[in-house]
Amino acid sequence: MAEEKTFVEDVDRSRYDFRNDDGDSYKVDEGLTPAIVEQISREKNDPDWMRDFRLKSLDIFNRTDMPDWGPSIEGLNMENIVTYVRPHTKMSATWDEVPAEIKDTFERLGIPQAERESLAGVGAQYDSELVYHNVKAEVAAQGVIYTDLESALHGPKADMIREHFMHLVPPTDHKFAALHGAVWSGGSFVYVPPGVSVEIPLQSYFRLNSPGAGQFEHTLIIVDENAYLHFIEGCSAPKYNVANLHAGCVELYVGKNATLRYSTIENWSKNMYNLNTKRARVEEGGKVEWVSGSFGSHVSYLYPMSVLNGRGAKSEFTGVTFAGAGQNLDTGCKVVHNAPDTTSYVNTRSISKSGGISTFRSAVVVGPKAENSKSAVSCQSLMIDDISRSDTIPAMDIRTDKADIGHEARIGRISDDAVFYLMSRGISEEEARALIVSGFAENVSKELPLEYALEMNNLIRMEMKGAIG
Amino acid sequence: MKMEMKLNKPLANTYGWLHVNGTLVEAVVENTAALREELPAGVGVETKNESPCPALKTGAGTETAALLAGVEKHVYTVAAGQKIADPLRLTLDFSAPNTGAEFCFSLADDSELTVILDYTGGVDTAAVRTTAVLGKNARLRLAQVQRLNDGVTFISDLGGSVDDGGTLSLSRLVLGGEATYDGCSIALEGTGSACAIDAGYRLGGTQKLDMNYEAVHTGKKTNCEMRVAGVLADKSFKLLRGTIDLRRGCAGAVGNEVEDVLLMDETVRNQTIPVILCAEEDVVGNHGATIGRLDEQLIYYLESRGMERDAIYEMMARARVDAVTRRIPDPQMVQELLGEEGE
Repeated sequence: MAEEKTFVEDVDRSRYDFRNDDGDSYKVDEGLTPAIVEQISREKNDPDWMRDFRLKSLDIFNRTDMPDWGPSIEGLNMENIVTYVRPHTKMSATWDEVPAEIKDTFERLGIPQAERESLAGVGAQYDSELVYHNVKAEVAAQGVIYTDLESALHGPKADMIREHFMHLVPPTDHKFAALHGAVWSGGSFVYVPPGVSVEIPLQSYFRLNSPGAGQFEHTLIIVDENAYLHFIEGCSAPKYNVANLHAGCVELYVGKNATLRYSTIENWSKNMYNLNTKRARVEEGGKVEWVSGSFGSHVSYLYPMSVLNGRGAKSEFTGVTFAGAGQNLDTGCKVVHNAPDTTSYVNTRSISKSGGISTFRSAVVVGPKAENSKSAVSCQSLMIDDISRSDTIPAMDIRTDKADIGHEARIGRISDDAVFYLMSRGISEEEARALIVSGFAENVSKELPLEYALEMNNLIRMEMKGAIG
Repeated sequence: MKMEMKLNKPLANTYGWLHVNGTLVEAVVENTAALREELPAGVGVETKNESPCPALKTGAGTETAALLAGVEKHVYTVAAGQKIADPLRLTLDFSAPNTGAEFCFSLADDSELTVILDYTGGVDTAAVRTTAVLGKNARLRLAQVQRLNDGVTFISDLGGSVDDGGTLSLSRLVLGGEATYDGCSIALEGTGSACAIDAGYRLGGTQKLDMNYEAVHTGKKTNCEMRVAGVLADKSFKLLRGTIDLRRGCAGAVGNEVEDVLLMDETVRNQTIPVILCAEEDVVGNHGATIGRLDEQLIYYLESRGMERDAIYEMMARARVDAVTRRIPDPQMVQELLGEEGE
């Protein structure tokens, strides 16, 4: 009897794959030169220190080698990337003031509806600039600041920005951190005062519309002592035949006994090079919780990093990566234990199908000062077919004897027994497999707010939709 | 003149800042190590000047072949169907400075052999390159015991290929020397071929151990069990890169890797890179690692039985290495090593 095989379709991205004409937008020339960087700086009305910072970063970019590990990024030619695209509008605080075409984009992505129903504030970036930013009055009344980074640079927290901007992720960190330092634009600044708990999440959504463009938003969040925040980041783009680049940067400062949950559903189009850098520094008794779903992009390098700097600081990373046809998604996380009694917990799932490549890559470093620290890493990978690839490349670097480090990983396929059991209960093979994959990714979906968990499960269901052949 | 080499390059690189994508080593080999040989009946031997298996991939890398270009190569063969009961004992004395040796074990179909390689002495650099070619249903049990003098830099490289139904069992113990660079790459090419790698070490002072172990599954229903256990004390350093590579076509393959590291002092450093590369759907790959100190509940229990904390650590450290020692397929060597440790 011929063995039955499941054919799995590619995801239906029609919800995300629509595009607007960008003819009205202001753009800098393709490529990367000091003149372009100075032009961006002028457009952004940078303070002098920021202009100097950009030029210094460009110099570092030019002197830094490409990474010699990870997926190939040969298809990315910086000479063809437009690093700054400003839509023909200013930032608004009401959706009515946003131009119809852009407003329609975010309506189709469900952002205004989400804001009305389940968010405390929203920032919406279109290409290189924020077009909408708003925070609920009752949240602002608690002293919470949620604004675009450019405004913050000229506002009352300007000194705080200067003190924290690219201090966690310096331009010397790697080539694309340097690129970000040179051409960053857009992004959000959040400050949560001591003791304030923001009960409902804030969200930033990043939409890259222009073909051949780069998006380099910078997210800077400071959660002060004993405060709490849940921040959600979403992103998407229409698919073009030319490479687009996302080299954003996220810097999170989590104060003493504070907690920050940072959730991301990444759904860039499959021509995107997603070379994003995210990092958190956690002080005494604080906690950072990363929840990460990676579904889009052609190539991803994405490893959120937690630096546990204070006694008893904690990090949790929960992630799922789904790599389909034409995708090479290299994802994972990094944790540095720098203080006593710190703990980290990593729990990831990756799924590969239709020739997709998923790689889990991690590093856990336990320094000499991190006495009595604990770390547990668990990663599981699922191969849906025999033309895909799934790699697991963890690293542990332990420099104290007073630590307890555990690591486990497993790669396998969907259990025939499980499929058989579900089919014996009257479920079709296709449904059974989709159900098993959704269950496999439950570690992430159960950590997301309900609306986002549903969206993630729909994405998985669409990915798994197919026919038995 | 010393040769500069980048040894132990893994099959997949990772973050550059970890400095684990290969290790730069400078070494020279000028002499052939003195060899004492206990050759059981049925084993053929030949000495060559050229490397008998130059194309076989090894764990440390091709540069070890160049490093050992000037030493004699010993080729041991077992004819088809011959099952050699007594072990082939090879004791190498590296007492002359900068010495090396190269061995090749070639087992024809349905043959069996046990080999005990014992490395002693040593000044400056000692190096050994070993290759093993196993025919259908052949079985090689190979034990390598490194108990070199203090201060010696030791380079140990191994490459093997296993045909249908063959089994390569490796036991490796690192007990001496100053810096050990230990590579091992096994190609599981035949259907149902298997390898087992058991490695143990006990390091103290400023000793350094840098390992790169690979099991490359290309044959169907192949199996690999990689088990590494060890103890780090004082300012010692250990790096293990352990890779299970499940290549397209190896349907039904299983690869398991387990590591257990006991850390005895706050000045030790342990790096572990347990990698699974997978390009086949119908496979299972697992790895697990436990790194750290002893469980407090275990210590509490043993202390309540009257043992001192230091004695508990010593006992548990010995237990880890002894477990690997006992898997050496030669009671004489096992007895000798356990006796040595007990002294």
